[in-house]
Amino acid sequence: MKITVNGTKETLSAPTDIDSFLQEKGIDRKGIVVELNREIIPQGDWPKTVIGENDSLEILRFMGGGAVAWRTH
Amino acid sequence: MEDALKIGGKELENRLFIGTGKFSDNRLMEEAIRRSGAQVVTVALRRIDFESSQENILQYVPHECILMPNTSGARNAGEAVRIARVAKASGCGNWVKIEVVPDHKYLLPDNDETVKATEILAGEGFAVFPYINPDLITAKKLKDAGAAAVMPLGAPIGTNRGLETREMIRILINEIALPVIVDAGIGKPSEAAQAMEMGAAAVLVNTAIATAQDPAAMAAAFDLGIKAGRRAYLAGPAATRERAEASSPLTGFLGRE
Repeated sequence: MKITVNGTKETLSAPTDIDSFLQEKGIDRKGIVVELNREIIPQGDWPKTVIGENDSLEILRFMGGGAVAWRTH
Repeated sequence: MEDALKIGGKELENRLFIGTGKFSDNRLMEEAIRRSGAQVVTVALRRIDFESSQENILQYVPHECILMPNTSGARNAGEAVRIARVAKASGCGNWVKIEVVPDHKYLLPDNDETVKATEILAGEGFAVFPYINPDLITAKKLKDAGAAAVMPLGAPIGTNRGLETREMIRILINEIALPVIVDAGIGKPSEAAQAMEMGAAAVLVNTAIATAQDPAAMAAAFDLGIKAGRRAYLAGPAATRERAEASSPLTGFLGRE
């Protein structure tokens, strides 16, 4: 199953929910925001939101940057 | 609170806003934020990098601070609105600093797109702090759009060149019934003090603190500079003159016939 995560193509062996996906990636889920197909998914909905074929996932977090940070992607 | 800055639904005692970019170390940043006395801290939103383990920066921001996510990386109003909504969804409050910066070389903002983003986000209940090139007409449009303040640049981002846009900022302060927060380019506490003496409501500093030899000590110095400038503004600076004016009578000198 092909999906896009932060602009990069990835392959999932089976459909999985967002919560498990983040856990598998080893991501500290505090202060994380997730968009699925450009729709913001509240943290409470992660366990019941399943990532499907051709879905696009954006996983974002806060980082240092006043006016100085420039997009790296 | 004496001389509080009422802004975005809050009352602030401290008029230094601090940015979180370019610090060599998160602990150093935390110390600098504390020493600055700043109550408002700007942060950026970025994609997670799966290759490197990054710490959650928010754990180094004192919890009593107001977070002001910025929309850096946005090249137009639509991208800025999207970033702002995502930031708000993280639960950090309703403040947002609009940065629409299509220019890579000087990092100058697109004032028109900034106005568009401000209209949309203010309508959604955000407290909107737009970063702009100091321009009176843009500032008027931002006021009408519901901005909480305007944030004109003193000089291009990260240049530490000071108040190069001084006269344009002075016009905004005189003409716009919104707090004017000088953002970008301020390199030294004396320059921050000058902005405050002119009547700026606050100053946002990042690079000048983060890249100083001792960021925490520089943060404390900016705090003092901004306080001094604010007090001078409230005290009403004396008039300047072309010619000398003695400060004591030019009569009654010792030994004169």
